[in-house]
Amino acid sequence: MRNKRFILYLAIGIILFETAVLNSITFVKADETIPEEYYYDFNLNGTYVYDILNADSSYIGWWGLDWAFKENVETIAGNQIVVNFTGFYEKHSGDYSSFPNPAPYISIQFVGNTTLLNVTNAEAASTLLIGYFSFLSGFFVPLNSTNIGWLKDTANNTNYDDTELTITETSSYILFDFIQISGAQRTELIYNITSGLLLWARTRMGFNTFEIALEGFTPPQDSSILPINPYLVIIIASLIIGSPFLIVPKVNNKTKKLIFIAMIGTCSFTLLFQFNSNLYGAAPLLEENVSDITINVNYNNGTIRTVEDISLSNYETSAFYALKSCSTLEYEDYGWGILVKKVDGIGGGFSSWTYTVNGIRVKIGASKCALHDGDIVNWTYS
Amino acid sequence: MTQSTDIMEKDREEIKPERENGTHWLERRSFRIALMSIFSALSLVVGYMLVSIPNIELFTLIIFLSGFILGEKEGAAIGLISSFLFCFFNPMGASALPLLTVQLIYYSLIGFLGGYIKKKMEKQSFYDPLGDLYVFPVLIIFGIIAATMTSAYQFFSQLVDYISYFAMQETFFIYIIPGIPFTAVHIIGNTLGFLFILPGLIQIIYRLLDSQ
Repeated sequence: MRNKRFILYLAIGIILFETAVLNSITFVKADETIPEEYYYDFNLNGTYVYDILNADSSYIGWWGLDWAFKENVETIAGNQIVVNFTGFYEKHSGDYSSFPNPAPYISIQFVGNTTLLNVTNAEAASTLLIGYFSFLSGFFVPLNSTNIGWLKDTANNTNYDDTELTITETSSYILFDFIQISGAQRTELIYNITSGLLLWARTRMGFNTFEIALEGFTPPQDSSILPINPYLVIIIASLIIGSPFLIVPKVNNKTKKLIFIAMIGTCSFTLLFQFNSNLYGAAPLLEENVSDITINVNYNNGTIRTVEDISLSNYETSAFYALKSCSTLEYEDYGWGILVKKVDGIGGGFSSWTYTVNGIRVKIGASKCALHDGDIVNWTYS
Repeated sequence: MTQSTDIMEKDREEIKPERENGTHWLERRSFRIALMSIFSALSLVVGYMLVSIPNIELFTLIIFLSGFILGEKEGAAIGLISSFLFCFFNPMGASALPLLTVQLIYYSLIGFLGGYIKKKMEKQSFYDPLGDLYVFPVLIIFGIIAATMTSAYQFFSQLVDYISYFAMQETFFIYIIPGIPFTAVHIIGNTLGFLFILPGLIQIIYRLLDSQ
């Protein structure tokens, strides 16, 4: 009886102690000074919300940098991850990342599931595969106006014979595309080029894909990350299923001919579908901010409205958002693009709204048409 | 009772030659009207089903098929009715009037062409809908029709669009250049449909009718 009471008190004591310690950590920020390698004006007190866009596995096992298992975290597409930076601490003894000391620490909340308090950015990168090898970039990379070359060198130095790394840099972001030639891992990461904050990550290990995007950021559209190209699967499946019938003597020639035609037809249509989807998948990435945009809205009733010096931000910088910023719209999103139906109440009849950028008609949807500083967009109801 | 039996007997005698060449169902007016309705509905369903996939459609194929099965006039009627409903009550918005005109003419012509081609093919030795339509001459004819008609549609639809709205802004050549890959997908898609799907559908329909 006494033993039972002792165990009960001990359990309650442990729970209270753990709660007190863990709660205290959230309020403690060891060092709010941002090291010189990082963007000096980064908002450490900001709350950064990421949408889980794609997750093949509902749970990911969270492991510490000392290889101790912590818990399973829920990763379901549609859920969100909230990241709060707790400050810069000494690097964890198990932190093998290429990044400087001190390292950023975060509290990471898997909304509706669990919160991990004050873990290193490298640990999050390692667990969620937001990085590769020792390039454990995670949610925040050391990036400022002077060290982008260093960051690229660090990324390249972590690239070995059996891996490929492509770095794409624009005025708004930097994209790291890491591929293991064996096919085991592919990780694509986009960071804000000014602040070093993670905007988008799509990573695959084996057959498991995990994709997150900072709330409001439109991720690039393509299907290259899929572990297996679905079009290729259809072609191979049709060939594998059909081929045996062509060599079995018992099957008559007429049936063989029909099977052969079905195989060729399936392959032809599949290739056409892939080509067609590629036409729409290669939309350029949107800039984070654009300015000095001019919009001319021709209502086709004698009225042409001109709005000058429009500034767009937060990656909502397409021809569609330019129009939306100065007009009341009715539109429909079809997945492959947005169709503008009415502008300021005009539209919806036999005519439709079309647009040109700098006088050139653009064949992709307005929501995917990336604008640049000084562009002139003409919207015409015709 | 005896009179009724006589009439049925007479009917059977009349139907006999039709049955021999497998067309007795298609000779019935009521059946043809029912089939016209089904083809109109089918073309609309197929049209709406693929509306979210740009450049790829089977609408043309179904209208051509209906003309092929039912004849020129019925094919044209199905083309006209279906295209009006599909293009006017389209989830992407109604077609502009110049484009709608091209669409109505084009799809009516496709239905008519289906019936006309069948009439011409029937006289040819290679035409055997109850046997095998996947023969070289049939595929060549279907392939050429699909590629030619879709190209013509693309050309005329872009031309009226250009004349209506863009003639003041750019030349026709510059206007059509960005759309060439999309146009190519439409032409190739229709040609593949006519090559691989259409002969099979014709054979299936004829066998269904023949087995009654």
